Amino acid sequence: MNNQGEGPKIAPGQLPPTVNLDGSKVRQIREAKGLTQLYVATAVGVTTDTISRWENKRYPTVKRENALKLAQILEVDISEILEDVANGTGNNLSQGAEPTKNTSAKGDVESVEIDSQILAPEGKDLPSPSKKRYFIFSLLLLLLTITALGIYLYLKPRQEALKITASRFLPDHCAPGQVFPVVIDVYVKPSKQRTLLVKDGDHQGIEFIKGIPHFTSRNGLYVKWIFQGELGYTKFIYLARINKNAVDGDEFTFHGQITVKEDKKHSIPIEGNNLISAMPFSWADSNKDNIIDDEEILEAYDLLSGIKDAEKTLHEVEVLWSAGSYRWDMKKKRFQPVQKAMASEEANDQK
Amino acid sequence: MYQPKNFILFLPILVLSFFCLFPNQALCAQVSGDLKALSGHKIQIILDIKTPAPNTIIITLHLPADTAVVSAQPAIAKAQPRQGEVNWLLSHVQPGKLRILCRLNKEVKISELIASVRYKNPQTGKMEEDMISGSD
Repeated sequence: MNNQGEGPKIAPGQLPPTVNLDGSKVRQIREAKGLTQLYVATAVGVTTDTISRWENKRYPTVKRENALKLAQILEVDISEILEDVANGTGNNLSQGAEPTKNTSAKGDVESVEIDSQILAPEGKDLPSPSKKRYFIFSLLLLLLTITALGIYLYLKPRQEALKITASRFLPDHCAPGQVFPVVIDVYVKPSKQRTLLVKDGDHQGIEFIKGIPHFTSRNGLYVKWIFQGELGYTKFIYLARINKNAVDGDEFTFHGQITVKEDKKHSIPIEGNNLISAMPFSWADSNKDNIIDDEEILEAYDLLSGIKDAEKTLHEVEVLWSAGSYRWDMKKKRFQPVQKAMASEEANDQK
Repeated sequence: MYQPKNFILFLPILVLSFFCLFPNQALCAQVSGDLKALSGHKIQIILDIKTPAPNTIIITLHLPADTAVVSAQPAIAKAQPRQGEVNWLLSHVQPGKLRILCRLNKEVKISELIASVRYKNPQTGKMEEDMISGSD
């Protein structure tokens, strides 16, 4: 071997599995010797592109075996074509490496196991194009996933805020001892499976007779329903009676509350009329003229029609409507239907 | 270019389009009816009930003097002979045709009869009264 370099000679065993070539020196020596890249490439067993890349320093590391072959072909010591060997600070020397006994006289390289993760196949010391493609594909997939997630979150139906309304129909008067209806309309939006608590009444002197649906509980003060199910528009009705000993003008105030249980409790008061007075008029006779007119009977039917337990109450009102007029019998504590003709005669007699 | 003539031509289309948007409220009553004379002393009131049907309706038939209803199907709910009025109160009304058959004490011309129907409009919540015209 004709060693032209001046640097210290390095035994192949001292070299790490990969070394850094000094590309410009390689080119300089090759050209000085009049060798073509094709020749060198053929001799080393790589492509001319690889030789070109080595010379242009486009591959930072080269396999030790290839570097040794290259040095052999260029007829220089390996140290001549390595970077940083002269000052001894580079990575081309393996620290504490011993010269191996396996080095042949012809400079054959020792057999080493090459980490397949560090070194690519022959002439490909950088990540291969397939690795690049894999990286780009992964990046695109990640971008697509993020975009899809963003679209899903944007289009995902936002949870509608819970809206509860509750209103009470309560006639503003009723005769003592007579049955009157109370209707509570509850509207919960969005409609879904929930638990609802309805509480109404809260006044002594009112007797709670029947709940439609049946009361969950009742006492002398209030009635209560606990309702589980698909809540949207729900109607709660109860029949009640003013104490028969109440006197004309006695007032009874109702208080009610709706509670919907979702993730937490939402409570609202029941709106609408909350005051009923004891008066000698039918609850359906809204203008208190002792006549149930067509509008009043239609309103009563609209309120209670189809409710079996309210049929009797409705029938009593219908009797008063069909008679044309009625009067309150104070002694018997009930209404007396009066034919309209008779009523006008009575009125004339009074005059 | 704007011309008053074009606008006048366009106006009916605009009005019709408006009514098409609100057909029930603008054009149609929920209940309409017809009075028909049948053989003998019988008459029939035919009601056409649209969707959504009112819960309950009251039909009033005004009779000429000295005329009375002998029988009716469905039965009369209220009779006021002095006023010459009879009423039917019908609840649980369903959309479609509803017929009321009525036998009078004597033969009357259908043009002498006046009928009306009262109900609470389920769409507006207002009370409505519609006249029922007769045809022999």
